Amino acid sequence: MSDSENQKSDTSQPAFSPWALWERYNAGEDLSPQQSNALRESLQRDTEFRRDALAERTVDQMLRIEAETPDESEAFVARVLAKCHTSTNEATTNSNARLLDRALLQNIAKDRQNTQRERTSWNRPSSAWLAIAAAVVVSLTGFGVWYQNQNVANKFGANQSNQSSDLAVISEETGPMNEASTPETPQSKASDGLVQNRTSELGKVEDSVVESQNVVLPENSLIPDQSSIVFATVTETSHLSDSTKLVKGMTIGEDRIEIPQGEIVLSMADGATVNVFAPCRLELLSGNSLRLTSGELSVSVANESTRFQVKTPAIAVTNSGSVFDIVVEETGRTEVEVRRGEIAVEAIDYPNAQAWSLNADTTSFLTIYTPVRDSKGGHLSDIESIASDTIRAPIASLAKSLSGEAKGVITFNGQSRSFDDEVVFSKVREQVFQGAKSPGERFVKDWSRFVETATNQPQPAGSIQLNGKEYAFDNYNEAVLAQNNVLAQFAPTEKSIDSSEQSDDQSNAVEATEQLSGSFHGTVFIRGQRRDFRTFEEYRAAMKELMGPAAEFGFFPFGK
Amino acid sequence: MNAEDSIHGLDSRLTADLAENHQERSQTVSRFEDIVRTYHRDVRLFVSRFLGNDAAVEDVAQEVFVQVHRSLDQFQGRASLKTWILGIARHRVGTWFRQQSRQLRTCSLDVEADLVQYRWQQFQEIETSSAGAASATEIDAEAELILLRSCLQKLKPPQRELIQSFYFEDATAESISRDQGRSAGSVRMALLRIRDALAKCIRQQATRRLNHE
Repeated sequence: MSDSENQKSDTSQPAFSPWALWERYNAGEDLSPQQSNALRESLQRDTEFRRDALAERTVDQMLRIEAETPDESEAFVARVLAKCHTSTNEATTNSNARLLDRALLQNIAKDRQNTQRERTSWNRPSSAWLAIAAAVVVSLTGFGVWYQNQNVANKFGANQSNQSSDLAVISEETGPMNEASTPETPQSKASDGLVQNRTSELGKVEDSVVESQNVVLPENSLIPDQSSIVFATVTETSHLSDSTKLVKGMTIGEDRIEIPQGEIVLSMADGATVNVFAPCRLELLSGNSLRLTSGELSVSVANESTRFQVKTPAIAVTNSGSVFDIVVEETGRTEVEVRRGEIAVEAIDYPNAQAWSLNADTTSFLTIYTPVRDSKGGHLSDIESIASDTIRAPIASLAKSLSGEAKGVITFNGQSRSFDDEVVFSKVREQVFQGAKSPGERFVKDWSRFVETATNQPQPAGSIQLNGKEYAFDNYNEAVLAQNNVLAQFAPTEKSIDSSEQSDDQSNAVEATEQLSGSFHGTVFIRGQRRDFRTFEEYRAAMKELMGPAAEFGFFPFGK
Repeated sequence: MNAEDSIHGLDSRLTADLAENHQERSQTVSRFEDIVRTYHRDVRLFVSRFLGNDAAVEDVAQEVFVQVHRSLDQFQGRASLKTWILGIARHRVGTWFRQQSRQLRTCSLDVEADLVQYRWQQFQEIETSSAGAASATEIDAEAELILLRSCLQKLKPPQRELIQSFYFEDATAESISRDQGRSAGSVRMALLRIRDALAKCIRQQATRRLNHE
């Protein structure tokens, strides 16, 4: 029994019982600072209490939905329709919205009874999909991850064909942004003459920034440039530390800004609004561009004729008339999410890397992975020092559609391969980034042959039969997932794909498989050829033989 | 045909209609009201699983349908309409967490900020668990409630009556407390204990069923 369980039945200390505090908090009662701290500490310290408390709130929500009356359901539907109607008026250029608007006017007064769900009863019989519900419910209570992993493996083969392609809408043809696509010099309140001066200044600014991107930022969180060139005005500040010399109304020119704490809002000279969330380091490059070294920004450009660009150490994001968020992590990971309109994302200094066009209504989320950067946010720690003129560092990007479909592209040494499955993408990315730390000639050649198999070789259709079970596949992605299922039988604790633990997990899976090789026997069929195996080593040899160069990535951990 | 079959049938019909009538958007879009009516419960259950907050669930669920409305012409019919909509819901939940995390970061000495972080962690664990999100997306909202219903039946009569009054008859903790001659706080605490018991019951049943699979 946890601390909280003991206290839940202890009514002599209601003021400090975590459950009593939890109840009062959820009832909307004001807690004293002491009580609030006590509750926060309980939630943090007592993981069992935290799990139960969160699950209790979820049950509350389920009960409310279960108890909903038809009228309440209709009220929700009406609110949604009203909101869509408003949204339609705000975006009259959207043809779909226009059609919907007409449809709403036709339908809103229609009889709503035909499709109204019957209110369910508690005595409803269970059915075959009860087990699926279990997976969902346990996900609320802390067992979810384990269960999901048990089931995900079983889903891969069957569902792979479904993971196609609302991502077809992603433009992969966005050409590289050249000078012409770089946002122009800001139009500020200054005179034409000043604008011209600024234009000539801008070139210098851009150049110097590129050259000095590895410069260590000074202790001072802002180096104000009180020159006459104004790139932005601070319009809001919130919870800034005393050392941050930013105040509301301050104008900023060519400046580097570091905010260790709090939030500011910048009104850029060309009309964009930039919310900067701490901890964050950035440099203003012009009235319509900035460089984000690390941290998080939200950019809102109301006017479609206004272009705005955010550069990071890895990418350049260009937009007009859109709203997007961007997060640059010290780990080399960058996330971009477009919330309204469209943006273009292009890698900087990575030849042949994938360029993306993201749209808020289709594919709105992109994650970019580059080699780890050091704490100063500039130097590539491992790979850049090794990468020579002839071997270029890897970059990977994963775009997700609104419905969760994924498309990833990995580029190493100027050669790219795309993936339609997030798990396969993550496995290959991990392997490439590991291998690129010390890219021997063979590794580079393996990658090159692997990329070429995507276009030069037919897809590897076949199956893996292991200990009486068969895992079929029709292409490379499915083959990797089929092996995932094979390994999952021997390493059920494997859990994280999209994390730094992935390689360890994968290694553990292989090691577990090797230890249990006595019970590891089966057959591999690929493209009509058959190989039997009785150990993991034999299995690996069979896969490498029958898959060819495609087996070098995604199947076995680096160095194994 | 029971209610579940009819809903599954409606999902198939709407999915097929949207796929077949890809060129006739006016017809497709005119079904939007049906779509909202058919899936709002699934969406709200899905969202509530991660958010656990009345107002937030309502807001995010509404945003999901606004997004569905905007993106309807992008639906290709390769997956079912419900899967597609729940995919959008999952995406909106992630966005909500990111936005909340930003807004609450400046006042982090707050229970609400902590809860958002804890729930976000929970969401991310599922998101990064070998495409666990995909399987979470494919659940059936009605299936989710079956375990709850089963557990409700196991409650003692006074507990069931309390749940019945509070949730199904719209009684308030105050009105129940007056009827029962106890404080409103004790009624709320009793409800909390019942919900806690229901959550544990659901977890046990789910575990048992998984072990039998």
